[in-house]
Amino acid sequence: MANDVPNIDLALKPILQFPDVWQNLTYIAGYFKIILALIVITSVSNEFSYGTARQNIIDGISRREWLFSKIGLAKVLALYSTLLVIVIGFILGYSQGVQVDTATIFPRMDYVLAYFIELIVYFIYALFLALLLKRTGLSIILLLVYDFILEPILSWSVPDSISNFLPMSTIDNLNTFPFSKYLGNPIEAIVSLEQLVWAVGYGIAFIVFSYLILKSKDL
Amino acid sequence: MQKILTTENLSKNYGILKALDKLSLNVTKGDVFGILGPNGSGKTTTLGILLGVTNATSGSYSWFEKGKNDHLRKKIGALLDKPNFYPHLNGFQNLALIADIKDLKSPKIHEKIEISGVSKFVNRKFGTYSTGMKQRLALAATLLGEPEVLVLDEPTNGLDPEGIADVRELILKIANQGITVIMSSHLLDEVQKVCTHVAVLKSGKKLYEGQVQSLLAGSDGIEIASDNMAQLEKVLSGFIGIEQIEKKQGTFKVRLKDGFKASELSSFLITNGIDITHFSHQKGSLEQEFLHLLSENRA
Ligand SMILES: Nc1ncnc2c1ncn2[C@@H]1O[C@H](COP(=O)(O)OP(=O)(O)OP(=O)(O)O)[C@@H](O)[C@H]1O
Ligand SMILES: [Mg+2]
Repeated sequence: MANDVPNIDLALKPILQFPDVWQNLTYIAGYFKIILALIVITSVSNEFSYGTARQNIIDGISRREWLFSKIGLAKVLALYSTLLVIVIGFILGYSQGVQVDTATIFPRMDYVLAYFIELIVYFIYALFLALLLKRTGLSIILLLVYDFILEPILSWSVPDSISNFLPMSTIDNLNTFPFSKYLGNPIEAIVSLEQLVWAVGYGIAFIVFSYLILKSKDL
Repeated sequence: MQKILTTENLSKNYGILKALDKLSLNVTKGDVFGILGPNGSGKTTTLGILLGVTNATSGSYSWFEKGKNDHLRKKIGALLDKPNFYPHLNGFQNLALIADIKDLKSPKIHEKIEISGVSKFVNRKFGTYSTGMKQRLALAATLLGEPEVLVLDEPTNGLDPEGIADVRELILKIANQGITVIMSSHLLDEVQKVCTHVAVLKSGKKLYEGQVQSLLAGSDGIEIASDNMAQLEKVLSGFIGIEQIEKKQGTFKVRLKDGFKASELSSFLITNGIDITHFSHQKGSLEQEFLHLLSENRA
């Protein structure tokens, strides 16, 4: 198989040039969301182990408001990461020494929006796990186990038409492995609207589940 | 009189355990309302429901005759079970955060710090506090925002004798400003010293609710002894105001019915020719009354 691969010189490929940079950079940046999800999990679980979630409610906010303050954290983390990616994207794009204009910069910036959605939905999912288990360690373990073991197993055992819409796949499919095109395989160059809608749907579903958990439990 | 809190048939089940069984209470403005009961009788459960953190199995409650809207708790200063603060923030930062949650424009944090005696350590991280320090910070937090009601779950828990005295004094001072206080305690002495009203709980059931005074009224005991105990007993049982006679180590312990005075009994005995060698009138204590209630209701 190895000799089928054409001999490519990555330096000649427009990996970091506009507009490819948006798709490529957000794909790579997507891996770092796990670290930020740990921040969400720790923050939520600590509220339970310190009893401060309980105290916040006692002091006069509703469970819904409390949940939305945590969703606010997810939003802030997603927003800052996205801004960072935009800044890095511009720096990389401009530093390639190629002529740029608006026609080359802005296509594929839909991947930046998709990246934001990917992060916020993933963080809300992490928030949901933390509310479900209320323990940092357990939540992190479940996050990793589901992400890397359970869902992949599940994916193999069902047809693609279903597995593409499992929660983690939905999020990941917003930006599939983009580098194969440099090996000559054509890939999607636009974010799938269907996947985007599903991802947002999962985000809303996790918020609803989180609310139901929070509402039904004694704090 | 303005109703501060009403509860109706409030119940909480944990599995088959009835932690709270059809509790109905009424608290009026200005009351210092004690919820008294032994360990596990449902005090924290009750307050947890009233403070929105424990879901009742059935029944209802209403704060300020306005229901149970979450925002009503902004006018309640509450300490439930144990102090809960962010350990990596200092005392002051923690208080500022609570002031924020309660939407306070001018929270007077320094004043509350002064009153509750936390000024010495308020700039230290909460995580480094001793039990008593935590408890005092929690009390400072309850005072933020000029609450209409204080809800205190065993407020003297973990305090040294000086702290206990301070806190009781503080509660009385607050009550004197017309602020309603609802506190739980398993210390009878505490309720007796601080509260105007009391509800006694046992195994989630209310055994008594009313004024502390009326619980104590008629609970005064009289100890009487005579050289001729047999004759004393006979005469005693002829007095119509007797509620209960108990024989105890060479004396009779007598409880009188409501409206009868010790002096009436002593003159009755004397006119009946009893040679009294010992007659002492003991003020009732809530402790006796409490034990009395609990034993009456032994399952
Ligand atoms: N989360 C829970 N799960 C199961 N049972 C509980 C729970 N919380 C309380 N209980 C039970 O409910 C009953 C009442 O408990 P509660 O904490 O209200 O008592 P308390 O009057 O505050 O006691 P204490 O004086 O010890 O603080 C106890 O039997 C307790 O074991
Ligand atoms: Mg308790």
